[in-house]
Amino acid sequence: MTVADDPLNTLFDALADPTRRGLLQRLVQDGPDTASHLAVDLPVTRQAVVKHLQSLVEAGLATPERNGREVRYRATPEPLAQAVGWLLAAGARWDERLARLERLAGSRRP
Amino acid sequence: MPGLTIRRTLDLDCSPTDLWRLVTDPHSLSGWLGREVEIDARSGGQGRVLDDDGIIRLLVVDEVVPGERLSFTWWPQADDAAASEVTFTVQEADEGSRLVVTETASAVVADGGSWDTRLISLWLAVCSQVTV
Repeated sequence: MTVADDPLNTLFDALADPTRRGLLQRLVQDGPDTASHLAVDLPVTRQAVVKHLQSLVEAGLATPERNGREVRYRATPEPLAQAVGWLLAAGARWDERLARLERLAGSRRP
Repeated sequence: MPGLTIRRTLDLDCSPTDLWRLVTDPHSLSGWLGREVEIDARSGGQGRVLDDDGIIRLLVVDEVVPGERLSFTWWPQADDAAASEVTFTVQEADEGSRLVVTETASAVVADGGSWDTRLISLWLAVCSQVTV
């Protein structure tokens, strides 16, 4: 698998920007919304908000829903939830394994 | 950011030589990595880990630098899309040795779709406090 088609890289690239994280958080907490409405509270233009939302869409974190002339964006944070879930589960497994290794190898240095 | 990485560091009293044996010898690995571990710790070597949770993981050794570093890719026998790469790095440390473990997933697979918007909000809030 190359870096370019690595879904996790796309995911984290999308989340690397604080404005995009803020937009995703608003969509998660307050439900679907339009770029125009989201831009009201932000120090950036509507066009900039649209670009950020498109990045979230490409990462699978949001979905555009057209209703007449209006496009509302809905959060679809499952890819992030899966990534966080893996981190928590895999981390817990290593903590258990390394605790056993520590007992096997003798006491840790003070 | 390259994939999703877990990193753990463990300082031990034993020598780097003893630690290397603990992370490459199947009998030693069966005492901590999983319930039963088979591994041919050579580049291209294969192995099998029966984990505590009952999951069987198959593995292929990617790289070995004797005494220093072992990398392998492993995946649950039932789900080869959920592969990840594990690296053990053995270092000398004051009066002992240090093990650095990393596990990197390049893709994670749905675990049934259970997710919680509170967890997502919390995670995004944590991300906002640190540099990603």
